[in-house]
Amino acid sequence: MGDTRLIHRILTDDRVEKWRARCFWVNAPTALLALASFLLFHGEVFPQRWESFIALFQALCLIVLIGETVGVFVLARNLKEGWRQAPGDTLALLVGALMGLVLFVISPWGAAYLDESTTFTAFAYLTQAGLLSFVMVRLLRLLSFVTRLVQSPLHVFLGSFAGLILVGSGLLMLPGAHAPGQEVSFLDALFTATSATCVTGLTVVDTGTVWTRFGQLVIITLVQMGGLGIMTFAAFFGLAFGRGMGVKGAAAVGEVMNLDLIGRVGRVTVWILGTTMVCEGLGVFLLYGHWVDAAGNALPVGEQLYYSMFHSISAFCNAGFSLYSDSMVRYVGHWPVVLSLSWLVIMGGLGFTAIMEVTTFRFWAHPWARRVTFIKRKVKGQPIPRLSLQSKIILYMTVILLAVGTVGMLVFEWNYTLKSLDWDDKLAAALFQSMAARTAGFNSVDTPSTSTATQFWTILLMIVGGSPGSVAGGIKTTTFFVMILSVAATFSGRPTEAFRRRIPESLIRKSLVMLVLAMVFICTATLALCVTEAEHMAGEHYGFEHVLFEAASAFCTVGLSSGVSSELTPAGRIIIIACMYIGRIGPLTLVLAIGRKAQRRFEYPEENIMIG
Amino acid sequence: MRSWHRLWVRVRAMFRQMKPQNITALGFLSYIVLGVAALSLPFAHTGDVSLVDNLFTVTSAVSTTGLATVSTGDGYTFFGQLTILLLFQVGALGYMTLSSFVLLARKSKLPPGREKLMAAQFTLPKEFQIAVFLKQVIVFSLVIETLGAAILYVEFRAAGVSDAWWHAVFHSVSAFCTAGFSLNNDSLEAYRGNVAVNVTIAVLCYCGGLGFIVLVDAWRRVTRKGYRMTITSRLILLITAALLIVLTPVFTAIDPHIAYLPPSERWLAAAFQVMTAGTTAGFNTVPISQLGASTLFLITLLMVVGASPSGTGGGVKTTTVTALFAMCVSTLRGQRVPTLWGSEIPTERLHVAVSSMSLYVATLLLGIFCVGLTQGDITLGLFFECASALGTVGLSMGDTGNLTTGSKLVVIGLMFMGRIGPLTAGYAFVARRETLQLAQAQADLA
Repeated sequence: MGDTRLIHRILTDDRVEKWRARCFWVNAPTALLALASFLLFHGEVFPQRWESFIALFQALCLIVLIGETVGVFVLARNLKEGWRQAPGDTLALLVGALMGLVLFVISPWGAAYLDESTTFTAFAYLTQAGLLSFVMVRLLRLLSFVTRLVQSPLHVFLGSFAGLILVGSGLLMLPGAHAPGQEVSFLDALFTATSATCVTGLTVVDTGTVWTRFGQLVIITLVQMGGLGIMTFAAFFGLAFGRGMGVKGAAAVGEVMNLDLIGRVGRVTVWILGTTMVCEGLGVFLLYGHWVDAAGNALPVGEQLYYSMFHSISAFCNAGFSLYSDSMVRYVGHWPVVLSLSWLVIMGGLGFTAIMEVTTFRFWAHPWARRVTFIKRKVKGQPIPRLSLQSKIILYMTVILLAVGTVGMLVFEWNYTLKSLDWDDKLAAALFQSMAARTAGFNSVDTPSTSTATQFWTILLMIVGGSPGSVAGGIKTTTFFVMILSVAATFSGRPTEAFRRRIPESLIRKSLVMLVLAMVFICTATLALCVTEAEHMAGEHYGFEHVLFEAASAFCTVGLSSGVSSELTPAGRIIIIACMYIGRIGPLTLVLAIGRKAQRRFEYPEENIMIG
Repeated sequence: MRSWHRLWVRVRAMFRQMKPQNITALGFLSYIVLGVAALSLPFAHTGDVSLVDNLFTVTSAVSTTGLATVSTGDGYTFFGQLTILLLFQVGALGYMTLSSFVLLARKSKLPPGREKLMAAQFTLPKEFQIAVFLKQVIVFSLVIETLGAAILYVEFRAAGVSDAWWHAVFHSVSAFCTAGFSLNNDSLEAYRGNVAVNVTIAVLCYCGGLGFIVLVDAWRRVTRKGYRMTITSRLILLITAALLIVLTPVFTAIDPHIAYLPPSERWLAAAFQVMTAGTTAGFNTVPISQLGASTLFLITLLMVVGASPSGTGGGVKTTTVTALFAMCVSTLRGQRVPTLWGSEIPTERLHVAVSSMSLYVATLLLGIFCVGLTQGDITLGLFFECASALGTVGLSMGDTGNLTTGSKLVVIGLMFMGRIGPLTAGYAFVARRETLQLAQAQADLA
């Protein structure tokens, strides 16, 4: 009986393969057309009266796409087998239906159409939602197919971000993306798209007022995709719904998350996406109900959900986009918002490996827990769990940097910008600002009016940044830790070690290179900005420290602004765009992608050199 | 009498046991104390000069910085100015040199403890014989300073300066010691277009900044046949020349103030500015406060990089920066060991380079924050001032006179640290004796 099943399964696999291969060339263009029609419609390129035709067209596309899944089920000849062959597709269909309902609730048109032609609108939205999920899945599978063609995973990595930015800018240029009466130049759209994809958060136009709901959704999608890396999504969908990505694809995804993924792509990407969903969902739950408008009144239900979702994603991906023009200033003492956003930012900045290790840590087998007798019996034979060195460093540094940042902020700002607040509000503000400097970018005090000392302090915190393998930027806490350890070791004469492990020489050198590269890029950017902004600076609009702050904020993908972004000359904006891009992909990656490795099989003789 | 002798023996034993870095620091401190005492005498200054200001001037002189809270020309009499000159001459040569020379004059051999101290002071390769070297150093200094003074005397007299000879001597010695003290309130701005003055001062500064060893090395290259300079000397000369050649056109192009100068003065002014920042001298022919932000930033970077080791300049030293960059480039290229010009750089040196740079930056940041706290707020001028102090340069945007007492003390601390070098300070305070011997087994730290 088992053999028959096996044979049946192999034959089904083969048939499904052939069917899929044939469908690919129909489905891929259909998916692209459907996506284009969706985006262009909401981007208001097509006039409103074409709505019914567009809906019909999309329904047709959906039928074509569903046809493939139906075909799989037919070939499999029973439901269980069909589900095994195409679990993702079926799931996508169900999820699409669910998404349609949610969209319906939060859409601004939903309330208006509730009484008239409900059926048609419901139909339109269901179609669009289902189509969207299906289409995204198909397109991402297309991406994983593309990665096999490109030479190096590094180039895939670079290209994916560049592609995302360009597509994003194009979408933001659509008339439906900006509010009526607002003119947005291509440079502004490019700036915003880069800022979103590189999870920075610097803006030249106010997010809440200049972009429509559609534009804001484009921005937040860019944030989510840029934060995790579109390759991660591609890997996930490629594996779940298709043939996987191969070694090159895995390496490309590994580049994004700075992990070694060969052989483990599936598990890790599932984990990453799962954690993201859980954290962001929890964030929506925590943030719901706290949002107020300009007058201080609570927002209606749909708006609450939307604001929660937007800010939750923005916080977790350490972007820092906010729908309010003054970021989080009105919530400065509001502990629920402060704590929820802080928690989201920290979770996003911890890094997925650290999260994975902490959540799978077998606390009960730890020596401390074993002291309790009834536990001891159960875990007698199990090995003692250990956190890896990296996780230990990450946790240690996160706590220390938060504490140091908060204390510094309090010290410098006590009688300055925090003067008018009560002491617990002061603490909340300091904590928030310190957390924001860990490359998030929200601010609850007006950053330009803080003292220069605070700004310097913030710059230092920004440069250190978050943890490796997370969505944060900067040189990363581990690099900083290794550098400090190395300097201390030179004086104490002992080898570089931490937490009872020794750190290899090559790692110390790599840390140094990272630090030097970061400094070089920031200094070059600042210098270039000084040259392009010479007029503004001579006219006392802003000074050197503002320019330095902006460059550091862009490079470390933080998003705190000294207020000069909107006043920059076009050349200055391009420099900041370049900073954000290089900061996100990492200067080391950039240099490695450009350079070549030297092949040396001999060693030169040693000679001394004076250092002093 | 015997009890005095016993006391002397015990003191000497204590000194022998001290780390060389501690002795260096103590030496400078004792010079500062003497200097303050001398300048506090009523006939050293005209009008009222507070103790803190005197301390500031003396530390500035001994560390060859050049920052001044009191105008050197107006605030001090001839005696005061002479004291300042002696202080920075001595500071430049390093107190060890002088006392060793004095010792040399009596017996022509250095005791072994002193020899090691000398090496710590001067970063010598092993081939040099210290006694001979010392004599050459003193002779060179005097000869070059005299030549410089002669040329400057002619120019100053032609410009109609009263006491031209004293001005010439003062500025000549000040330039060679890369101190940057000037008897004019506006430094050398009056001589911006004067080619002779510019070139003389520049040559003097470079001689002082390049370092005795490099000069001697170059001299031997010129006078002996088939002599190859050490890799360090070649490196230093190359970097210095490169910085000058590359940055002069950059300054001319991007700085609004320099661009507005008449063409005859433009290049000279730009080159002089690069020179004065690169050798950490501290003279200026253009008012610093009027330079553009980009130029100021570049100057700050130059000040941090500093001059050459074993010269009279400050900063992290060009060789340290080069070693760090070589390490980065090698790592990026994928080489297992860092190389420079075909020779491998030992790991020990790289560690020292990294530590030196890190400590320097950390000290700078600490200084800026302290100044910010005492002064109320951090401005670009204060930032520049701190960088100038730590690099013992002496360029200022004009804030020196406005510093509060607390800030002056912080800046004094920075100047002191700049002279003895953060690395030396670190070793003096932190390291145990055994590690020091290990680190110095391969010799040569400045």
